[in-house]
Amino acid sequence: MNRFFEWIKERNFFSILRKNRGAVQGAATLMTNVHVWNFFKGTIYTGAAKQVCVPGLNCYSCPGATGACPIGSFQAVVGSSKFNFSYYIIGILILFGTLTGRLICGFLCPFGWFQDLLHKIPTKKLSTENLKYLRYLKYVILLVFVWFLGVLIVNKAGGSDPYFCKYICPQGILEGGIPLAIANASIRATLGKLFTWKFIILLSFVVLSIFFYRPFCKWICPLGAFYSLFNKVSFYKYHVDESLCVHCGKCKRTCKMDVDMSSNQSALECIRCGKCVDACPTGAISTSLSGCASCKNKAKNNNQS
Amino acid sequence: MKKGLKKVICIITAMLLLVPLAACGSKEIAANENFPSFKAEDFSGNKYTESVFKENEATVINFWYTGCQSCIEEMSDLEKMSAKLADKNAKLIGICTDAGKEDVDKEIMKILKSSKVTFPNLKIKEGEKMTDLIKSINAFPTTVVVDKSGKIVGDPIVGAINDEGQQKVINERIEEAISRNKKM
Repeated sequence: MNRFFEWIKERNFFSILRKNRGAVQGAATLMTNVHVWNFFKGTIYTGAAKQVCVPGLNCYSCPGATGACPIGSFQAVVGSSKFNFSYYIIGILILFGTLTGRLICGFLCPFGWFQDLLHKIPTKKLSTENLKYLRYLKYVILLVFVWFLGVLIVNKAGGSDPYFCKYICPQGILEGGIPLAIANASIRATLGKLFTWKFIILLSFVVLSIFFYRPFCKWICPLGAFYSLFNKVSFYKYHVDESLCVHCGKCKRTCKMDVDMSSNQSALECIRCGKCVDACPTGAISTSLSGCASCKNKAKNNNQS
Repeated sequence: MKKGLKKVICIITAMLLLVPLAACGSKEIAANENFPSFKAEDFSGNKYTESVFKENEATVINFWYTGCQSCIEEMSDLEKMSAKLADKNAKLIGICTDAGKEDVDKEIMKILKSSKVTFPNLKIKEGEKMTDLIKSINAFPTTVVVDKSGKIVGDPIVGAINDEGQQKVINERIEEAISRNKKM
């Protein structure tokens, strides 16, 4: 198995994927939303694959959705009168988190891609460095809106609404509410105050994403909050070769998630986008699937001698 | 030759993309279509078929399922509506679309009890077209008004009937059903 990973590192396979992150994000968004015709039909896919969770934040009610949203699924289970927790869904999320940590945020989440694209719009960019306290909000949202409220605030039959999906998630409006309302007259007729509220949230994040980098991922996303807990223990990790690092601070300046890779390789906010790897002047930064510069040099020397 | 072929492919693709646009919304629940025939049973053992439409000036059918919290939350409003409908000789009937298995039926009875529901709720036993209609519904609750002759009145109403706007729409449909009956 080790030989296989050595071979992958030599071929720079994942480095190539990492350098074409936009293409990977586009492909992931398409694979997560395969049923493109449904956007025109105004219906959603309800077949067997909908029982499987996708790794990123992708609404179940998106007409194109291939699978289910993990946050939505968790809330659906907790919201039924029979359960207060879902071991199955949390188990799947732990699996995803343990494999790659927040690499999912950086490469496989459609809403992450949406924010990345918006950020490309040429304007003055604002730093989130001084707004670090807002990052705790996503953990509060994870515990309170995704879990506790669903358990505590129940109706007469013992069930509850999916509070995060219903009152906060802008992805649901972008992917589900708006496309369905455009194509389906009955659904359009139901739009009211809740839609207005959610639309305002979506619009706010659209504007914020143009000036700040990934504000939703940093401050609100409960899925990102959950995956961040696994950055420290995931199989896929970032490494810094201390013998090569000259502590120039370039990685910290390049990182748009305000992570200082040279001091913390498992930071909660690191979405493993790889910008720091390219920025490092000495090649000190490497990932679990791409060799570090010193390893590559060693291999070169071994081949030559 | 190659350029011409490219053009033809573009035109065909464009046409294929436009065709689905013409097919918006549910075809099965459409205004003026006949409500499909069915055999059903309520949770007290009474049997129902499409003949129930003849017995009322207007029948309001509310489709729901046990996992739909909005459906469960609107039940007390529906119960109040059911009482008002009786004055107009109209009837409210619920159809629980995931009924059939023993544990689901138990859950349904629990839900109906906790919401103090007295209007009949049905589980569909037979009816292929009925099953197709239910499969075509992708947003719950969906409410449909049917006139005396068994024809659907107006478009289906999607979403809980918990605000004035929705109430108004339902009342309009019921009035239309009643006036249609008079014309016949």
